[in-house]
Amino acid sequence: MGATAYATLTSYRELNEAFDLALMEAGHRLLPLVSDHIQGRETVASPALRSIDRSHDEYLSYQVQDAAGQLLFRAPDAPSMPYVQTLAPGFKTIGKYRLFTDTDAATGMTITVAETTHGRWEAVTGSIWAMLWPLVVLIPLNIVLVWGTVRAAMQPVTEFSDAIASRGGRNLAPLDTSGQPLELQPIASAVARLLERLRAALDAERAFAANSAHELRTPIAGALAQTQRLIAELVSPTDRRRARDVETTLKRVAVLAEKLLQLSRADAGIALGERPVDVIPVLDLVVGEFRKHPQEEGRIRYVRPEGIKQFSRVDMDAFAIVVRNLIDNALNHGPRDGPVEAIVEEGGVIRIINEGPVVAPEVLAGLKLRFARGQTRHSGSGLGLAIAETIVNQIEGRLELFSPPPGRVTGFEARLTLKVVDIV
Amino acid sequence: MRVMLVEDDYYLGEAVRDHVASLGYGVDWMQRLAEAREAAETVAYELILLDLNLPDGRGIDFLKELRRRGRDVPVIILTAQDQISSRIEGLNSGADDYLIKPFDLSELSARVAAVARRYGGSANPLLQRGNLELDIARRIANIEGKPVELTAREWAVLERLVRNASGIVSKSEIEDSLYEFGAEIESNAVEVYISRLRKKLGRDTIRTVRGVGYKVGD
Repeated sequence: MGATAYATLTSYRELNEAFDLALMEAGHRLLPLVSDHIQGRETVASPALRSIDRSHDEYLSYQVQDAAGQLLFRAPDAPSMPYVQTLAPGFKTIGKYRLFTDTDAATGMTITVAETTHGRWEAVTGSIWAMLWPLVVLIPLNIVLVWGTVRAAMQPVTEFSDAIASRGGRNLAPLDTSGQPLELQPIASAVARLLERLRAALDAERAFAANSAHELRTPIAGALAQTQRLIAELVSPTDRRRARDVETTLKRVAVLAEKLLQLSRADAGIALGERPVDVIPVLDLVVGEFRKHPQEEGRIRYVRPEGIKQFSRVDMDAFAIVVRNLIDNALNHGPRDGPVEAIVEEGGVIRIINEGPVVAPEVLAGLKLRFARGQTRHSGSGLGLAIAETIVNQIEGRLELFSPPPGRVTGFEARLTLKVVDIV
Repeated sequence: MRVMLVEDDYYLGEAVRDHVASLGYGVDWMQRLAEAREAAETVAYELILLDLNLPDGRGIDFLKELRRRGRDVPVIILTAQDQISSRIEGLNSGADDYLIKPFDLSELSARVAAVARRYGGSANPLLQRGNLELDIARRIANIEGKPVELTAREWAVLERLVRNASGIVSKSEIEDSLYEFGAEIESNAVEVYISRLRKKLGRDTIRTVRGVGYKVGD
């Protein structure tokens, strides 16, 4: 646009200069002719000049004055009064006229050639418009064409970008890099390779978790079962007691191995689900498992609104790990045979409450740290709440600890608040 | 009750087999799925304890095959896979219960008793037969409120009879419940156990249906 404006101004200036030059040339040509004419005749009207065809519009007109400024000769359409009072040579613009004045030194006669600015303006604007109108049409057209071309060229990139953006956090399926512009293919290929490596790493982690679970748990299970058979078969009380010590230690190893496996999986970032799932059936299953344990029979009071559904983008197994740890914590750290409440409330809230003494605020603040323990009879691993916290953070949920629970004077509450999703 | 145990780990398998046998049940222990399939063709097992990770295949596939063929034998899965998704797959495939390794053998006993009770047509852990009261889960028998001590084999025979309280149980069915493959069975073993039970519980507790078998109650 700036270039167009510059070109317009330059054209205007150059055209004006051309017109001025023509005006000057006209004056220079006319002055000698009129001078000869005046010297050969006694009146202004000259049959020779009157024979000129007058049917077209006259843009040029002229006056000839003597040295004293008296009008000696004028064109038929020139005014009877001089155009200018002063006879200084050169260009002037007066009113609607562009004037050129020059003096013949020999005769002292001065000619003033006048051109109407209207005509000049018409010629200049016509020329400029002839230059501009293609640009007025072509520039927007070019903008549209360029925009359309770039848009079409960027379409594969936009689709590629949208394809990546629309994926969930766990969708690592291969990317389609075909159809990308040549310049962007290296980037698309690099992203696809990165996803491939990430997928392979996560698959390896999952396989490791599954295999290590089997490889670790099975030998512990074998050792524990053999020890329990030994206890059943031993007669000597001393031997039985020693075997029971082995059994107790093996159970501790089993619990610790379990927690470390859970921690490993939590740290691997498994918590976020690909799509929202209703967590209530999972909670039902976990509570049901605890209720099957003979030593926990009757301890868990499970309260949930009839027909409630809580959809959240959480991996089912990760959610099960969280609630299992919270319930396990409540069963172990509450009074032996004391009740544990599992209460489901609207808005993704799950409250696990156990009885017991109030936990001091400074202790409460540190319970979610790894290997932190409260002051109860139970000597646990100190990892349960830390595992739950790690997973809850990954799913943008909240795990709050209260002691005493709101509205009570004793006890402990672990309150899980999930980020629920409305499923239409 | 005749039990099939499918478990490839030697130490765990041996301990579970011995424990279940100590409850009075006949236990066949398979370490490969191929053996399990073969045994399931020939024996009407009353309970299967099934590991999922086996050297020659997945236990879950064996379970699905059983259910596809209409075999409703109770199955308790024993596995190291603790994921909810695995548990749901197992239960949806037809398992009756799911036990995560490592487990207490007493826990296993309780699950076995619960499944057996469910399949015996009675969810009630207490059975009353006249003046005889039986707590199947805790394996306690009371005659007029007084506890009666029974051996493991005696309990196994009594439980087999009680679980089929509406019908008659043949001698061979009782033998199948008590003895695993390869066990040496004395020809009058069942009669001996029936006789012992009658002495402890009362003559009328178990009735002989000549030429057919035995029945609890009147």
